[in-house]
Amino acid sequence: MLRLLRKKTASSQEASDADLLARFQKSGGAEDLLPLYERHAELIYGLCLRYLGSPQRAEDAGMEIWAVLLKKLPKHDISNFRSWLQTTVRNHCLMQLRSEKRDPLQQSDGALMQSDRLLHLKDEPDHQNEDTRPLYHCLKRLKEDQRRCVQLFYLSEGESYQSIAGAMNLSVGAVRSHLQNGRRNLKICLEGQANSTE
Amino acid sequence: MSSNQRSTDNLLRRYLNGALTAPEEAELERRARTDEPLAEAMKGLQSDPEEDHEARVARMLQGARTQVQGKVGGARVKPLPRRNYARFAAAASVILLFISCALWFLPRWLELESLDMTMETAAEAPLTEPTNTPVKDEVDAGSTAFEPETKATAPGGPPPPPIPHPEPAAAPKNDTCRTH
Repeated sequence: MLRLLRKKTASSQEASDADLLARFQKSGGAEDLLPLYERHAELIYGLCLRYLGSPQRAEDAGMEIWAVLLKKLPKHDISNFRSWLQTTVRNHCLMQLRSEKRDPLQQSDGALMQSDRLLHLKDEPDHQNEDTRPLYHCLKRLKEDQRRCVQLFYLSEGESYQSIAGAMNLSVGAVRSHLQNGRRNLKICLEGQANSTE
Repeated sequence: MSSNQRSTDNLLRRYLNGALTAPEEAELERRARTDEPLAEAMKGLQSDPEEDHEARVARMLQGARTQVQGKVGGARVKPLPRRNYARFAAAASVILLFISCALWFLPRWLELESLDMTMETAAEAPLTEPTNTPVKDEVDAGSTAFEPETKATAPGGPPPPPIPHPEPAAAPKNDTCRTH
């Protein structure tokens, strides 16, 4: 049985969302929904976390979405599964919040903190001619762990969260956190530098 | 599924398991600018960067796989239809009625049975007592009557003593009867 599931999973890796969706809508079997759910599990979890604000609740809601998909997918004619999934997850989470009388709009709206300057620091040659002194100045002002993580991740070749976590004896989550906070602090510092020069 | 979309899912997976490199992170964030679901998901994930999101997603998937394996491999458990409860209730009430009837009538029936038995034994008891006594007397009488014969057959023995004839029972002396 496991072999059968693995074969199905391997074949479904090449199939499109529409193909997987059609297969499930035709059979109605949960085993045909599984490849679609596996493919979008991270997205579902991330969306639940975005709307519910708690990892534990996001995990629980992500499991509930499985049942919601089993129930709703056979009845709907879906052209863009990804958008439909986002709407379904959002409605499910909002219903949960509404039942608790919480206002989802009050939740913190954490923007993507990636600085453009850091994003294309090495990729784009234009930035090589830029004055990087403010960047290094701001790097020095970061906390030790943040600075080391940022330097290893952005200024070294081929480093990942995992490799840095191994090198610094930290968890992957801690590295992700140091990088995120380091980027935010760098952005604030760089914006402050830019404003002061203007 | 487009290769672009597959790549996005793969990048998101690598972000969660920590295998993401700096160029991949930049690519992921570039895509999030045009992909609304991805942008929302990234905001959610970045709201708690220290959390082990990968383990949570793994538990989500494990739950789904367990359900699928239960449905594919095991017997499908269907909820009982509601009407069956009425049937069960009717059957249970019949059984209860039967048991209560049995509990009600059984002692009485047993009581009657024992009463009959005692009546029968009571009826049989006086019949057996008188019949036994005469038999015993007959046997005793027979043995005494038979005894001389055995002695008589014995060769060369002394002559048997004369058989004592029992005197008739003395009639009650009743002068009035004799005179009549």
